Order: sequence, then structure tokens, then C-alpha cells
Amino acid sequence: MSAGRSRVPLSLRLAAWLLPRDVREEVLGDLVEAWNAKERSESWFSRAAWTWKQPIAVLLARVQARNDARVLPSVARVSVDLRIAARSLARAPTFTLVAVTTLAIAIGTNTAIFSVVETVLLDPLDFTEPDRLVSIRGTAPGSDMPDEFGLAAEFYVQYRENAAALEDVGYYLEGEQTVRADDRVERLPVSLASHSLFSTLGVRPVLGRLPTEQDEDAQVVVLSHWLWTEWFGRDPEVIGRTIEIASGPRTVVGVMGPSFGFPHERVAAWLHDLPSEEIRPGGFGWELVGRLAPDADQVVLAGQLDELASRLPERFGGSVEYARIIEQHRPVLRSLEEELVGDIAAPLWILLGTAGIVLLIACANVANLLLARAEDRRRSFAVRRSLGATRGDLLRAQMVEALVIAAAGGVGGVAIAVGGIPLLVRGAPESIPRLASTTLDPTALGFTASIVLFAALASGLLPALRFSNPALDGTLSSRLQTGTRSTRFARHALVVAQSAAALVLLVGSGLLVQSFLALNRVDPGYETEDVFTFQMAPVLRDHGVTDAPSLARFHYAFMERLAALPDVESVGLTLMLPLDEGAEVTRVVTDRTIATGGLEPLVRVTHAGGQYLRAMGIEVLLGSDFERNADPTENPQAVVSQSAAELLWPGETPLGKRFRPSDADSSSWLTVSGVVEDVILEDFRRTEPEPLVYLPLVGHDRASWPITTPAYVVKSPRAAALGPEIRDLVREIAPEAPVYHMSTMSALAARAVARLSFTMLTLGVAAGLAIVLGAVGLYGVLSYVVSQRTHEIGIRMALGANASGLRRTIVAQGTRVVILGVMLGAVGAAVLTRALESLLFGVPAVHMPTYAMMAGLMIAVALLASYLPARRASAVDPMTALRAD
Amino acid sequence: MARERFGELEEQVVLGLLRLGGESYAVPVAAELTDVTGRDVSPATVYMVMHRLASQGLLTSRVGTPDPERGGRPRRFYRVVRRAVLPLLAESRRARLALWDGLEPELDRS
Repeated sequence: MSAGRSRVPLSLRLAAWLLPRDVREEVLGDLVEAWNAKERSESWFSRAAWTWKQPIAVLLARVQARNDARVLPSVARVSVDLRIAARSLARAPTFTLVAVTTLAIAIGTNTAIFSVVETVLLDPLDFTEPDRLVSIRGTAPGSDMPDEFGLAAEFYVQYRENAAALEDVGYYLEGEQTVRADDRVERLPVSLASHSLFSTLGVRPVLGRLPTEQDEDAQVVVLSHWLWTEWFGRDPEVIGRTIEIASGPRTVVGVMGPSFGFPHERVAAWLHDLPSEEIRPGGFGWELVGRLAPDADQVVLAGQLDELASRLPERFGGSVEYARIIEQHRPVLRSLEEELVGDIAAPLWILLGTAGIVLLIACANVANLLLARAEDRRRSFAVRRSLGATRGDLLRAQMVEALVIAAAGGVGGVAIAVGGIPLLVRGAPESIPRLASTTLDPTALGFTASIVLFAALASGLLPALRFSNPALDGTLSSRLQTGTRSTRFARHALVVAQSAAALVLLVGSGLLVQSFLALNRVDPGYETEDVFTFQMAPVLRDHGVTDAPSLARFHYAFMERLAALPDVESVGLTLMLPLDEGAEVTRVVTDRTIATGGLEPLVRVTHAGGQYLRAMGIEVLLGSDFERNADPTENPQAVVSQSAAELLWPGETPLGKRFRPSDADSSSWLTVSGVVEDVILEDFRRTEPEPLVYLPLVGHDRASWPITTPAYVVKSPRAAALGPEIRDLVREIAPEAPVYHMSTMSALAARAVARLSFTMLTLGVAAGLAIVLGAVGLYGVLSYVVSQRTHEIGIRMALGANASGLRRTIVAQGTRVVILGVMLGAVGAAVLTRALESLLFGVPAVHMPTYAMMAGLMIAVALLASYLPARRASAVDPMTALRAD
Repeated sequence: MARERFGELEEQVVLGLLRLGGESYAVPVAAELTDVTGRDVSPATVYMVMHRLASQGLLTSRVGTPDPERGGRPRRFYRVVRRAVLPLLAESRRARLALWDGLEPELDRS
């Protein structure tokens, strides 16, 4: 694997790049070797500090190597330049303020977004040799399994025993459980984890020990650092204590360190889990994590796993469907980091790119300001030349000035980033891993330092080169009124570049806004307004619940109490709520599959009861809603969605047809009593409806009671305000029960599009900044041109030119420049907005109306920015203008 | 190029190399200097010093085999040309000791 080559920190590459080409590779090798040695022994902080010292060490060594005699005086000269620059900038406070603020905003934006990107995407995972960790999942193209899915117990056993390319492999399952200790009870995210998960990750506990193979299944638990801190006050005596998780006593054997949160930071505890002795194959959904053997790579591993998986049916048996899935099965491997970061990577890179564009626009603005300023100081430059200053002196003096501005902008930028990072973290979707730990660390500061240098070069180089030119010598005697052609060209070119960059951002944010609106227009099949939802986890045995009828009676009684709350219109419950928990997946048997021996179709399945369909506003298309039924019946009724009806009984009337989940026993038939409209379970982007069956609260026998912790849905115009009343009610009925997942359906719907709305919002802010900076830049250029041409305008006016004609000329001049920028920007946007494609919905990346609208907006802003200077020009009094010279 | 004396870092690097048996590469030499003197020296700095000394005929160098730990990049080993280096070291040691002559009591007092 080429991990060694790709994992070199930017700073070390920079250090090598500063060296002559012929020694770069060898020095980089040395630096990487030293860095790797530090990785094993030193803290993250000291390593980061060390890497950023390297480019500086190289620079110092190179300076040292130069002729000593030359170095000292030039250092002294730079310090003189610094003093001069500081003084002259202080004399032009408006210029300095505008330039520094512009750069500060851009640098601050970049620093803040880079900090997030660094924490979430770039920092290596806090495990031993994280680049050897792989996530192992599966795909089975051509089968009816999802595109990608978690594996199962038999895969784990097979891989662990036989895959030579794996040094170790572990598994985990995520879930939510009621955790009780002393008087405290809460519903918390926990993870079921094999003991081998910890050894695979290469982590150690800070207290106690990790589970081992000798520990009995599910009897021991390892606490997260936060649970240990918040619930047990970091009491070391917690080891050996018994706490209750998932209604069973578990012995605490260990506590993990504060940085360990797997698979995410909110996990409260890891329950030790072993695969059962008798594996029933096909229980998919297990997440496997493997550690590659030292000499193996993902390609070798994929080959081995493929081969091992194909032998699963012969070892573990299983159904015909299972054998078919295994036949199609291919392992899906990706680095663990990629798996944990997931699909947030694309939006974050887009944001960083956006910030980069804002920086370019800001640099163009400052370059323009510096050009104008240099133009004003031509005479002074010419004087300095004539007094013996070399071209290098003038160049250096101007670059030092640009550097001072950029450095001040950098300081301001860091302040903006310090304030902005918490805002960014709060505004981002909550599911982004590691986001909360974003801080301004040395690496981010190093990044800031490099963009300060970049900004100084990008904004200072063009003016400095222009105004250190030997051709300047003749200008001392010239009149210097209108500025030279090439300067005007340079300044217009900058405005063109700015407008192009701003248009790219405007088009990007326009596309995202339209996607957002389109997603909000999607009809999920249920109402999201005025619906409140929550879950609770009572200790059922305390309420006399022992079987399905008593459970149903408990739920009905509770729902009656809920319905009696003021303004509540209807109340229902479901095992898994759309947008929150989705629904389970099962195969179903129908008379047709029995008759044809065909594949049992895969459908989503949930349980529902009470007035669930009415409360959610799910329309009944055929037949009737659930019956209220607390007793098991011979012939329990179920409701199916329209697409499920079409899948299971194509071309037939579904009402009265029977089916059963394939894992239920063969007498558990359900009869279809109603057909309802399709609903969106998880993803608003999904255009194909998912077949869904709703099973009743009580099945056909007393033992079937799957709904232990359902989600209740309450329809009420006061949905958003129901929380406290419901808490009171639960406290009264089941004081021991934690209440959790309290939310309105509209909040869940907003969460479902959070990734898009976050990107949209930040890109929108960036586009807003871009257009303001662009307008300021254009205004600056035109104002300057007008002030330079006052004399010429005066003559024209004196010769009878009319004011409106003059205004038109100047506005046209500004607009022409911007239109050129808009044209280039449109081309750029067509290329760059492809990066947004994964976020777009209902709108193509190249969408003419958006382009036209944003181009129009850009031109309108250009008209406005040119009109103000034009009006000033036409107000010139010819006599004053002519006398002024 | 004939040399009369070493710069301070040059002297330390050459001594470091000799302490490591007369042949080594930048990473161990930098580590040795850090261990012995407490001075944090970058391997890149050490490499550049050795590169310069080699160009002056004081060291010879050869390229080692690429190493996966370094992302497949080769190591350059430098060897001290004792015949050229030892006189320079002797001279710098002599000069330093001569300067110290009579000043040791100052140290004792501080």
C-alpha cells in the first residue's frame, strides 16, 4: 500500500520543497522517518509543533549557508522597510482599514473552515496505526439487498479464523438502551462490541480492563469516559460495580479514555458481545472492523474475503435466499477513517474550496487597492529611483507593505476564526464525527500563516512588479494623470477575475437553495406539521406487562391519557418512526411465493397501533385503518403501503390477501385490511417508494409483543409545546421511565436535510461576501479611474458633452468588465459546480435559469457600483477641473 | 576547497557522525546531537550540513536501499574522510581549549 507516501504532513513537504531539487527526496525521507519515530513516542501536540519547525529550520539553514556578509545587511534593510511600511500605512488609515478588514474576513473564514476540515477529515484517528484499519461491509449486486450492508456473525467467525491478510477483526452493533445506576435512568446510545474490537483498534482502557473471550456474553461492560465522569464522578471504585443496561445487570470492567468514542462520541458504553454458539446465518447488519496484516493491502484482503465468504453456506448452512445472496456477495472495503467520516467529507471540502475562492476575491481587492496606492506614489518611487534605490529595493519595500497588511489581516482573521468556529460547530449537522473537538490548533495556525504569505504574494506581487519597473524612470517629469494603459489593464483584469469567482459562488449557492426548496416540496406521505413524537422506556414488569395483551392494554391506557391532554387531536404509536429510526427489513412469504417457489420479496416492516395513520396524516387508499385490538386473534390484520401491495400481489386486489414475515413461524399469517399511501422512511432524495408493511400491535398469540419502546405520535396544534406536559404525564404513570427522542416531526424533517441546509447556508454567506467584496472592488476601480480622469472630463464638459452621456460611458465601462467576468465565471461554474452534484436535488448542475438569474444579479450590482462614481464624474464643474491642474 | 576551520554546527555534526562509528545518515545524527547536547536539531539541517561537507571533500556519501518506513525514499549515508577531517577537529579543539585557558575559575565562581 502506498500509505507511507500519501501520509506525509504538508509542512514536511513544504520543508523539502524549499530545498534544491536533487536532495528533496532524501531529506523528505529523513523527515518522514524522524516523524514516524515521533508518532510512536510523542504527543500529537509536540509532533505538530515539530513538523512546523522543519520548514523554518530549512529556511534558516539555507540563509546560514549563504554568504554571511550579504545576509546581515539585507535583514537590516528589511527591518527599515518594515518601519517605513508601518508608518506609511498609519498615514493612510482608510486604505489600511479596508485592506486589512478585507483580508481578515477572508483569512478568518479560511482558518475556521480549515480547522473543521482538519479535525474531521485530516487528523488521523486516535488508534494505533490507523491506516491499517479497514471497515468491512458487503454488497450483493443483482440481489434485492441494499446497495451496501453490514455483514453477519458467520462472516466475523469465518474471517477471524481464516483471513491471513487480517491481523485482527472485531465487530460492533449500534443501539440505544435504557441505562440505570442508582436513581439515575436514561436512554443512551450504546454499542454491542466483540472483545476483539478493542484489540483490532489497538486501544487500552484508562481504568480496569477490556473484555476477553472468557467473559460471558453480554455480562460485562466498558464505560465511556463521559459516562464515567457524568454519572460516577470519576470514581475508580466503579470497576466491579453492577449497573443495569438493556434490562440486565452488567459488571463494569473498564473505563475508556476521553478521546475514545467509537463509532462516535455519544456512545455511553460498550457491552461485551460474543456470537452465539449456533449461528443462524443471514442476520445482516453487523459492522466489521479489521486490521490489515503488516504486509497486506486492501486488494489482497478483498480477494481473501471474497473467497472465504463464498464458502459460508457450506459451513453454516442457511436458506436458499441466503445462498443466492452469498453468490452475489462481494466485500466492500474502505479505510475506517473514510467509513466513520462518511458523506460529510464532500460538503466540507466544498466549503474549504468556497473559502479559498473568497480569499482569491479578497486578494484581488487588496491588489487593486495597492495598485491604486502605488499609482499615487509613482512620483515618490521615481524620486527614490533617482536617488539610487535599486529595483530590488522598491520591490522589497512594496512587498513588505503587502506583508504587513496581510499579517495584520492574519491577526484579525485568527480573531474572527476564534469567534467563528463555535458558530460553525453549532450550525453544522450534529452527526459530524469529532466536530465538537474543533479548536484552533498549531496546524491550523500554520495553515493561517501560509495563507497570510499567500495573500501577501497574491495581492502585493503584481503592484510591486509594476511599480518597481525601470520604465518608471521617465515618469518623474510626466504629467501622470490618467494612469498607464497597462495598469488599467491589470486592474480591469482583477475585476474580471473577481466577478468570475463571485459568480461561481453565486451559482453554487443558487443551485443549493433550489435543491433545498425542492426537497422541502417533496411529499413524504405524512404531515410534518403539528405532530409531536417521543419515546419512553418503562420497566414493563412493574406495570404488570407479561404478554402481548397486557402490553397492548398498557399502551392503550397510556395513549388514552395522552389523547386527554388539551388540544390533542389524535394519538398513535409505531415501533420505528420515519426520519428517526426508519424501519426494519424483512422478507415476506405470500401464497404466491409458496406457489411459485420464487424469491421471497424484501420489504420494510414496522409495527403500528392506535391512531397512528391518522395522527401522521397517512392516507388510507383502500380498506380500513388498524382495528383497536388488545387480544390476540386467530387472524390478525395488517396494513400495507401501495408499493408493497404492488410488489406482493401485482395486478390483484390486496385486501384480504395473507402474508407473513419469513422469520415468523409458519402459522403466523396476517391478513391485509388496508392499503395506505407510500411514505418516505429516511431519505427525502429517494424517488422510488419503499414497500412497507405495518404489523399490528398484537399478533396472533400472547407471546408476540415486539413493541417495547415505541415512538408515540401526537397530533396537536400545540405540538411544539407539548414536551413538559408529556414529561409530567410519564412521571405520573411510569416514574421510572426515561423519556427521550422528544421532537416534532418538522424538526426531524429539518434534520433530514441538515447536511444540505448547512452547506447552503455557509455557501450562501460566502457568496454574499463575494458579491460585496466584488462590488467594493469594482467601485474602487471606477472611482479611481474617474478621479484620475477629472481633468479630461472637465475638458469634455467644457466642450459641451452632456452629463448623462458621460455617466453612460462610465457605467458602460464598468459593466463591460463585469460582463466579461460573468462570462468566464459561467464557464468556471459549469466546471466547479459538478463538485456539488451529490448535494443537488431536483436541479441539474448546469441549470440555465440559475445561471441567468445570478449573472443578472451580478450585472445589476455592477451597474450600481459604477453608477456612484459616474454620478460624481458628471457632477464635475469644468472650470474647477481645469483650474485644478 | 581547502578549509581552515569548522562552523559550530559543522563540528557537532562531524563529531556526531564519528560517535556513530564514522558512517550514518541524518536521522540518527540529529537524534545523537539532541541526546548529547540537548539541542533540538532538524534532520533536514543535519542533512544539509553533511551535503555541504561532502561537496568539500570532508565526507563521502552513498545511497542506501529505499525503506518503506520512509515511504520508499532512499537514505543517504555519509562517511567521515578521517584524513581530511581529523586535522580540522584537532585544530578547533586546540583553539577552543586555548581560549578556555585560565578561564575555568570563572565557571567555578558562577
